[in-house]
Amino acid sequence: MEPTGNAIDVIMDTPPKDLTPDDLAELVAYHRSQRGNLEAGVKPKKDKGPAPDIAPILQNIIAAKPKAPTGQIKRRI
Amino acid sequence: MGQDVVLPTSEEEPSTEAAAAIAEFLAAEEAADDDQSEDISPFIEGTNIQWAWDSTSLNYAKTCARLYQYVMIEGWQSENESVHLRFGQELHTAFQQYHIERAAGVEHDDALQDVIHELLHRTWGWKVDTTTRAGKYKNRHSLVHAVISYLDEHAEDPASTAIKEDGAAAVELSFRFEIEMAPRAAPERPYMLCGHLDRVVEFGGDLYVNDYKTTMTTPGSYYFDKYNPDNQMSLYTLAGNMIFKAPVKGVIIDAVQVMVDDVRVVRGMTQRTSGQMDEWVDGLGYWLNLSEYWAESNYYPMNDTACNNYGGCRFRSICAKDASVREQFLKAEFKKGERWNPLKVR
Repeated sequence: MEPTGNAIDVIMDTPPKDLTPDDLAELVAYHRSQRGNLEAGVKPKKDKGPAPDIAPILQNIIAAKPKAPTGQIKRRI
Repeated sequence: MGQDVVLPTSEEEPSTEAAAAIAEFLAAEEAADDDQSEDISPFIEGTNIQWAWDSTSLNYAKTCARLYQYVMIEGWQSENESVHLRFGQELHTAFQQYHIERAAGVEHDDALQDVIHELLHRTWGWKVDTTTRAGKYKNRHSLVHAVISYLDEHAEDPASTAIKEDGAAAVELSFRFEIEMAPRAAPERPYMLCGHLDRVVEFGGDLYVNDYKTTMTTPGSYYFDKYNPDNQMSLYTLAGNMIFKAPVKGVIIDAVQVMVDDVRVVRGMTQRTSGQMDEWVDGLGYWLNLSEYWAESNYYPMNDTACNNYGGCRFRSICAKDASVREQFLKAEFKKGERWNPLKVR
């Protein structure tokens, strides 16, 4: 698990003697929140923004696709 | 957490025939308090004949004589090893502290926060190279995550920590006992088996050793199947019988799979019959004799059928070199550290 770059990193980088019970509770709560995705058997998907409209692209692909050969297929042994 | 269990106080002999072969049980827990034990060598003075054995050194010997030579005799270590070792040790210490607090009546959340606080103290300043595979998976962040995940998972553990006769929780138990066999070179010094049990638990009315494992692979049924037969689990079952003088059925294995983003906690079990334990002890004599022969002849042949086990031996690339240049590659890729000492209290 990599550093999170947020308040949790601040807690992790604070000398332990200076940590308060609230800090520890926040740290525990954070790690608990990071579980669950795995237990559900699903990896969280990264947010890549709205899905692109692929319909035109798909049409072009279909149009460019060579037609299936109509000749007789020789049997291979 | 379920009801705590007071261990039987029976003075009967250990239940397995294998255990009966053990000559003497040498103050299991006193060993943990014996600071001088760290200075005792597991080797007979002036030789490479090992007389004190734990599951780690036995595993090396049973796997490959050359692996045993590199690690136990010569003390070669890689950087990644220290990361794995530290991670595992911290995990064990955290679980130990947690179970002691719970056995004393502390609530889960309070015990968990105490454990995390202590863990942060112990690991303050622990830096690992997160660009390496080992460091990417095992670092301070993932350690905290693993501890919280595991302890939350087992907050209501049906396997309850056994309570020893002295009222203490049965966690991190060091054990030592001599067997009725000694090296030919030193018949006055019997072989000793030693090690540490993570925890002893009561589960379903029976006693089990509870062992923690960290893994980076998926702990499915295949993962747990590999623990029977298994040298470490057999030794732990035997040790459990010796320490508690009561039947210990086997080992409950808690596997903590450490991934880059999360942790998976899976529990499995492996059991041993008294017949299986007898067989293990019989085989032990063969391996101890063989290791003495290696030491006497200073010849540790490589077992080239074991090089690819468990993702590949760490010394595979060394053994692949011509013998004339092997030492140079060893020095380049490994460092000589403190030799593994089964007698060292951890």
